[in-house]
Amino acid sequence: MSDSDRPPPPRGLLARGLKLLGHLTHPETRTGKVFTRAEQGLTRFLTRVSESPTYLRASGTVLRQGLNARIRRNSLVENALHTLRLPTTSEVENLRDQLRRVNDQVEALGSQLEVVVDLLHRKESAAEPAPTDSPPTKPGA
Amino acid sequence: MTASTPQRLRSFVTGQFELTRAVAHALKARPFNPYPYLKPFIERASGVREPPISATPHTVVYTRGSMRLLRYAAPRRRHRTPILFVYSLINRWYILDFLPGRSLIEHLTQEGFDVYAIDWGVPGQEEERLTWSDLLGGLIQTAVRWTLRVSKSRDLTLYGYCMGGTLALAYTSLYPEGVRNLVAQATPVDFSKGGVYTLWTAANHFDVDSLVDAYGNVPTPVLESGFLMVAPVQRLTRWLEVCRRIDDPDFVSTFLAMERWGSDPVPFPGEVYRQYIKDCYQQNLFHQGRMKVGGENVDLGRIQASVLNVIAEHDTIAFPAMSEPLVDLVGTKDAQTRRYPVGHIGLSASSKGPTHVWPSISEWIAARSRAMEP
Repeated sequence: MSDSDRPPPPRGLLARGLKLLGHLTHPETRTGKVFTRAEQGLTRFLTRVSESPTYLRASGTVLRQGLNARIRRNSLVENALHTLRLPTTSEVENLRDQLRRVNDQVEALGSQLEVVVDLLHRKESAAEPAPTDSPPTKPGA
Repeated sequence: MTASTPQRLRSFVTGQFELTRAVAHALKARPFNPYPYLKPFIERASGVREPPISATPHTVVYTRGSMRLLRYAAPRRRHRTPILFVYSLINRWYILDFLPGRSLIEHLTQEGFDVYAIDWGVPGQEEERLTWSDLLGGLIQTAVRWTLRVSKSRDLTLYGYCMGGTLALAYTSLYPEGVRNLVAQATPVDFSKGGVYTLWTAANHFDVDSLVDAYGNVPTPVLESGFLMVAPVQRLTRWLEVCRRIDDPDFVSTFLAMERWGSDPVPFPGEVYRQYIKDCYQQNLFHQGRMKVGGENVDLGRIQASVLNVIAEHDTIAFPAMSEPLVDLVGTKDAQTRRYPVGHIGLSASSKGPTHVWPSISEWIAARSRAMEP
């Protein structure tokens, strides 16, 4: 049996399930039309909510309070750790960050050296005299 | 030859184990983006793995802090004037070097351009205090110098994408030396036309000072939640299309790569974010030429380089109305706008890119670049 005569490889249960889900929600099927209408309705509702002044005011207030609480908490924790002479979270993060940077620098330095070597090599090749067919003359000849 | 029953059983068990592990890993990290939760199911069902990204060969020519300057050398260089890409601070660099055959950078190198790109990296604590002045007069200016040095050119084409376009415009306004051409792709300029983004960042309910003071750099979940809220339902339902086309490996591969890019933001440097929100979104000073960087006004009227304004007509991140005023604000007479019927990411990653968008942009740049000397 040639390759072209072979049946397509059996699809797994998951693939068939996803395909069915895609088919059921396709805008051209009956279930898909219902799904599309629901999707459009939900989008309109969420757009109205997210642009309403009440929502913006409320979410802004909640966000501000949460952030201010975080600022106060950070300050308290850092002060306490400093008093105990222990490394703070930000110090550990800083150390991790510095290690990452050293790694980046080493990688970049390697690449920069490659560029430099490449440039030097090109300069050397350009400086070399072009080979001639005549044999070199002996000194003093 | 069909697999034997024990082989199929082993494969089934291994697959279930991998799937469970991937989902458990996603649940542990708890990101807002649906990508890490849904990707394992799509990979398992389609048999397609996440494609390799940023495949165009490149070298790192310079590094400073978390920033790297990447060079993509042309196989046969035809233009002396190099191109330097400036990306948005929240995105990874690989969107313009997306997949083989779907890469703007690969396209430009094949057209004979010496291409460079700034990879901002992942900002850490050192970047919390980074300012617009450090960014423009420090990082971008150094990247410009290195690009000119390595490419042995007197001038270059600066190519900004999204917020990177705003940075490129501000840079050229303050440091015009060496910038011959400027391409601004999907670049916000008039921030009063930013739709929901302008509404959500309004000063009366968005306290940017508290956010930066609390976190230092703006964390990715905060940024992700903003993007998610723009189209929360579509963010999920677009995965249904990949379910329908689960038998199409090319579609699945491109879809996964695009979703991966969309779910891979990095934290936003705190002080840069503070000024960006206040001066651009809340007061629209950038558009008015009154934004101050290092004590100087960012006046787009000072830009004398040739300017190409690239607009995606279906852009829902940098709305076309935000980018349209650019050509009237710059000082040069050689400024034009080109519009394409794609979305924000579609400019860089859709199938229309290699056929419609990139040849047009490449032709504009080539016409304004110096050729290589014989």
